[in-house]
Amino acid sequence: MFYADLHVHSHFSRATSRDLDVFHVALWALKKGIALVATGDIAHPGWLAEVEAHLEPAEGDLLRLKPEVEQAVHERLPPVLRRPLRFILGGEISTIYKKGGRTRKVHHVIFLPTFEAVRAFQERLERIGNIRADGRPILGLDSRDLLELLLETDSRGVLIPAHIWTPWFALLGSKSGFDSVEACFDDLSEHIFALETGLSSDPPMNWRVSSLDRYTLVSNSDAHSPRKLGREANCLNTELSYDAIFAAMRTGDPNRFRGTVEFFPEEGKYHYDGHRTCGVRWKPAETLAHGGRCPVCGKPVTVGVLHRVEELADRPEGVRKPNALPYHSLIPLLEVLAELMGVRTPTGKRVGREYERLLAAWGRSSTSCSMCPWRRSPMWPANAWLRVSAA
Amino acid sequence: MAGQRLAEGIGRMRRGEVLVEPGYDGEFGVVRVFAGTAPEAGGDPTGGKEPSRLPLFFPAGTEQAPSSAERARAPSPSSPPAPGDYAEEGRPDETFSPVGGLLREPPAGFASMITRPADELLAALNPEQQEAVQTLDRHLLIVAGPGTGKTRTLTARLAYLVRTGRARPEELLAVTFTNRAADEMRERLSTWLGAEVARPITVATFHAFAADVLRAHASRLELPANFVIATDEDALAVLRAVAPELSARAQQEVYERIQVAKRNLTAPTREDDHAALWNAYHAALRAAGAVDYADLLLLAVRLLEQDAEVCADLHNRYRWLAVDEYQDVNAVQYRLLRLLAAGGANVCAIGDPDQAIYGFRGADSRYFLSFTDDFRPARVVRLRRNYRSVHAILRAAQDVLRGTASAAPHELLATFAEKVHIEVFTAPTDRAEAEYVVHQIERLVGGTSYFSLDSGRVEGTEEAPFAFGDMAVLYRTRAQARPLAEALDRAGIPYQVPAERSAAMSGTARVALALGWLVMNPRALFCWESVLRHLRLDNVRSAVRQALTRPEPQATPRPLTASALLAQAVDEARPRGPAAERAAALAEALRAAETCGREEWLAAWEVLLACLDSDSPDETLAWLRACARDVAARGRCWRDMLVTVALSGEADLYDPRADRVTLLTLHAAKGLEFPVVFIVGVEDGLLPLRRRGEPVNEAEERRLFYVGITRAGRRLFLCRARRRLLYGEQLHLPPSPFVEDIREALKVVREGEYRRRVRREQAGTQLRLF
Repeated sequence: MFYADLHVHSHFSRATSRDLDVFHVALWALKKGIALVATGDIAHPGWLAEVEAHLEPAEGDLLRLKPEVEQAVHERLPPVLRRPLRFILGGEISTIYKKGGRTRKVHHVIFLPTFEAVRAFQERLERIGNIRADGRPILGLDSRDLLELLLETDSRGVLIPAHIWTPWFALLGSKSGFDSVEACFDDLSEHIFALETGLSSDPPMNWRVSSLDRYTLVSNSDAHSPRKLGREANCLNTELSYDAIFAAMRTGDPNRFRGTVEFFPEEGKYHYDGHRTCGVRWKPAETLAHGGRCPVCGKPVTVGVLHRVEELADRPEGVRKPNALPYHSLIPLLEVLAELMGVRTPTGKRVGREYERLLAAWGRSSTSCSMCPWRRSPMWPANAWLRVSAA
Repeated sequence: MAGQRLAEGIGRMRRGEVLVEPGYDGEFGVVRVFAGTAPEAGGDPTGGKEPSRLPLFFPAGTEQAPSSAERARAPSPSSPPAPGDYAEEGRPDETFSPVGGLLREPPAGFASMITRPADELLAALNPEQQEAVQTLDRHLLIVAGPGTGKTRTLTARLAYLVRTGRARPEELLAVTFTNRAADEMRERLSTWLGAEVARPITVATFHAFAADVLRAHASRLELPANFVIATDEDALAVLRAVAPELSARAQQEVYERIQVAKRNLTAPTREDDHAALWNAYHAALRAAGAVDYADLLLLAVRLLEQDAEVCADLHNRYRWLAVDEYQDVNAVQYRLLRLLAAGGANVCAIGDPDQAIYGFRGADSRYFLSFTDDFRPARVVRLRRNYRSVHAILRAAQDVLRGTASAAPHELLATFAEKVHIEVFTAPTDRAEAEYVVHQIERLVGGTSYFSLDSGRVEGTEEAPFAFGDMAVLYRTRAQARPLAEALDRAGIPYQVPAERSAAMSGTARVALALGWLVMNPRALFCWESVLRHLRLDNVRSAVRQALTRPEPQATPRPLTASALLAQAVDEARPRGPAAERAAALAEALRAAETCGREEWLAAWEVLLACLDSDSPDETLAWLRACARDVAARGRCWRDMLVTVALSGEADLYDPRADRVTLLTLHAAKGLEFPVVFIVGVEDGLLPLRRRGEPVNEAEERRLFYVGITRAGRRLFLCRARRRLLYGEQLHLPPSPFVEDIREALKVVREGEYRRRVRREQAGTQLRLF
């Protein structure tokens, strides 16, 4: 069994950390106990070149670090964390287009099995828009057409709608999304089998919308810096291969797709409604009571994820969908440490030193990496918590 | 490190004993295990750097009526219409909706909707348009301002003729200036009449129509039936070959003089220094079985003038003529139209003298103004109801026209009202100008990324009704596109620059076109030259040249095919290695193309394109393929495809389906419309354009600016730079006088210190991001 983080970025994306390169992604993935991580920014030729320079093909259409890179990474890690790591070719693409008279903005995570397929895909995208300016390109392309183009490039291509509830850039977003998967992908909807819940929603919120029952809910970090890797992740129990991973998602088999590790949804940027600049933060019911308008500036407040779920929900709160998979909410260990040490952010040197010390100490004896059986558990590293509970 | 506390913390987390402050509107939430000092929820209200807000509405009473001076300037006594003043005509202001939305009036004539097909057609038109459609007893000049439903009216008129039985579809001829306009018209006719009924109607550009006429009667002009239409580059190459002693600049000049002379129907006299060249050039062109663009119209005119039989044929066939953009006809086009109408056909011309912008190419709006004298009896109908632009934009456009000394502007009535101002922005540099445009585009689509929202670069609450495809950036000269393209690239915003593609017509696409012509006409030496040069088959090229210039026994003109000619040349030149393979592949593809059936030509064309072996995925080749598919879809083949490609212009390369921001010259923007328009470089020197050593046609420049403004539906931005790098020169240009003519009440004037502020905003928010 292993953890997989399938939505990350590279330093070619806007507003990402400069050290978001292959080396640091590998380093932090191993620190966090992740065994499979996406390469990110699949549409960017420059990043593809970097990826090809650092990775080589491994089993099942996955990639591994080249020996010299792996050695360099391992030198920076305590021995206990020098574990196998695989990569999968996948990254995010943003589309902005008009459909049904409204401007739609949808983000998608795209996967392809081989470098050749990625190159062919980039070649096609290049004719449509500018893929060199931003690791996550913005295309004026209908989401359905993006999916078609992907499947034409390679029938094994996979598209997972990203953070589906966020208001501005998502499939079901309040501002520029749709009310259903079918409204977005039309005749190709059957090729969608998984949805990314995003940081601001957790599985129980999604269970309230019965039209989403047939989709496997996946969770990824959407990391814009290496240390954010794995803040959400998937727990898989399959062989290490491109097809096996997506087969597990496609079937939703609880033995193979063991569930997800989640942020507390409240921690996401768009959980509640409100106006940041006016300092207004409301629960959905409060927003309704105010007619949706901000009392400070009088303009409509930004409707958050909780509210949007409420709009589309056809089940009451607390209902479990029939084929629900387990999930675990957690707080990143770095943040717990920061809080304990009384500092505001977890990026300081002291927190970092303590974190490294704990990693080296805890990682040592645990070899089997099993999903924690408890409702809530820290995951940094996922196996570390076992030691603490035993201590 | 307090291990106890850590264990406790983790224990609390396990038990769900956490403190939660949910995130909202882009602010991360906070989840903690111990109560304590949490960062304040909610942003610092002053941290958002709210840009100074504009009043959402015009304050009551601030709309200035034009001053008496303006009034005096506006209507010159000789001008036909009384332009009037907006304040006096049923003020469209009253239709402003309180929330800035759009109000659309129901189409006029709606009540009279009854089931008879022709009446149904009329019901979709307003009274002025109905008058135009129903005026059939005399010639008709429709004066149609921008956005007044020109194509709609013209096509409705043709459809009305068919539906009422006044004309059979094949008796109708509609002439346009661009392929795109022709396509649009065909599409509308299909909607009005159904595809089957509409198909026999001839809809073509002047050049395409002339090419068809020439092809049908080629033998009378001693042209081969499969004559080649040489592109400007090809024709210039032919001229170079006959006048190698001239400098490149002189060759170019002579070429242009020849073209101008043909457009103006002024053949050179014996004294003209280029008369000898003229003859040599045409002899070489004809020997290759080719004509140049200007020849198409000139030869058609000559044919009709000299051949009564052909003339009568055309007179019998086309009883109803319709001409689009009549203000842009030049002497030769005008002559052709007169010849076509000489047999008593009814002529309907539509256009707008206020949009005459092709004077520099020999167009003359005098023809428009003399229509009622040229074609008698005639009626003039004016379309004044504008269905495109909001009130403020129309008024600004008219303010600009009022500055013209010549004709009085034709008044337009707005259908849409929305409280917007025209944004006039002054940037320190051309790069800052481009940044401003990009920022506004981001704002208008409501942010392109979390970054633009979270950084406060774009305000999340703004309504976002626009997509990239709704926006166009217009400029006077192509050189201005560069900083814009760079800024859009940096922001990752998708855009298209159709002009670039047409520039690429001189590259691979031109070679492809030449290859296509060779299948039709293997004697076109300049086509061989460009194909074989591209394939680096120099020996073969000289062999072909020799074979084609070798004197032939006149009595027995051998039937010749391109593949045979190539095979013969390969035999002589004996290329080796990869060159031999390229030659063999080409010969094979040519043979396949020559023998393919009507159904297979598209596949054969693909094979030919593959021979060109272009290294990179070439956008222009993709465009050529798409053209071929379109032509095939219309049931046409090979030659039609070549003619379509050869006669396409910049405007034809604009792809409306792509959801991208469009960058266009003001000239190419004519006939298009966009909800949002940016006009950049509104500076005295660019608008009006002042080129060193060339006279400025200020009236035409003003009309060009008018055309640019009237492309806009809902938002208009006018930008200029204090300092601009153009053609390698630092320019400091004063503001365009045209912008000054727009009354102040319509404008919001801003000055940018732009780049610095953006940097500070970005720096201030960097830590907030993922």
